[in-house]
Amino acid sequence: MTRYQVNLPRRSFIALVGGTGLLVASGGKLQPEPEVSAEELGVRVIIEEKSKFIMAAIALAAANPNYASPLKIVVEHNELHIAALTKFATLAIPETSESAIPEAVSSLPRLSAQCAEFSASHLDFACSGITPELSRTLGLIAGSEIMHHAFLNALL
Amino acid sequence: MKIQSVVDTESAIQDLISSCHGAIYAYGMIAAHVTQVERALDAMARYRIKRDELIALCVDLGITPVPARMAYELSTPVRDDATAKVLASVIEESACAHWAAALSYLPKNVAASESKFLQSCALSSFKWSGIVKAFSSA
Repeated sequence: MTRYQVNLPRRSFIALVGGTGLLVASGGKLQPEPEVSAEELGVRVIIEEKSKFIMAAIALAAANPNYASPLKIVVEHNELHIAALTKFATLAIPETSESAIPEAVSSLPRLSAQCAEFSASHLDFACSGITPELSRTLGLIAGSEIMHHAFLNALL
Repeated sequence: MKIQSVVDTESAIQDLISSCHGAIYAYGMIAAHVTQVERALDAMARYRIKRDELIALCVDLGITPVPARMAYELSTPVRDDATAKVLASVIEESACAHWAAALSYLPKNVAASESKFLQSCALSSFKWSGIVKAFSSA
């Protein structure tokens, strides 16, 4: 254990080591990220949020086996949503980062509320003048998310 | 009911009106067989209200709304309470897919309320069947 690990929070330490590694690998010159359209940025944000949601649901299922079966369905659907959205991202989607791992186990009401929030926010995005195919996909995903909200609420 | 070719505002609104006509017809059949008659009639009323709103939107935009047909082919046969519930769930799921296809073509001032209608169809589909889906299909 180094003295940095003692003094820095775990995530900051990992970020520091990761950042240092990146600088070394790039010879001190960081390549600028390619231009990302607002539409693609929105898709990437959704994928990241869904990845975090999946990890939170898996953690809750592990902590509460009674919820494991229904949460498995919701997790699988969200994975299918991510697969469908990935088609709209021309650039590689970054792997789920360390920060996506939930620090504390979420609760079923929280996950259920998140499903409803996802549905509303994805419908807003679908109506924001994006391409028709992405809008249609998001509309279908939002329909599924509001079903998840009702499905999880029924377990409470 | 299959989604018609949706390529602009007019075709999107016409497809939604056709979807409403089909749902109203189907709920008539469902109400005749399902034990929860009131629920089926409420759902039919929901589509009638939506149809009227969309027809009013057509008038505002100078579009002639597509008329209802005499009859519609049901996606699943209805014989009893169980099959009526299946059809109700299918109708709502199909509506969800129609509304999802229309969203990007609808005028901004109606898109938000149509988004809410899409959500109500998804919830209604779940309530009829108890099944959650990753994607709805028409």
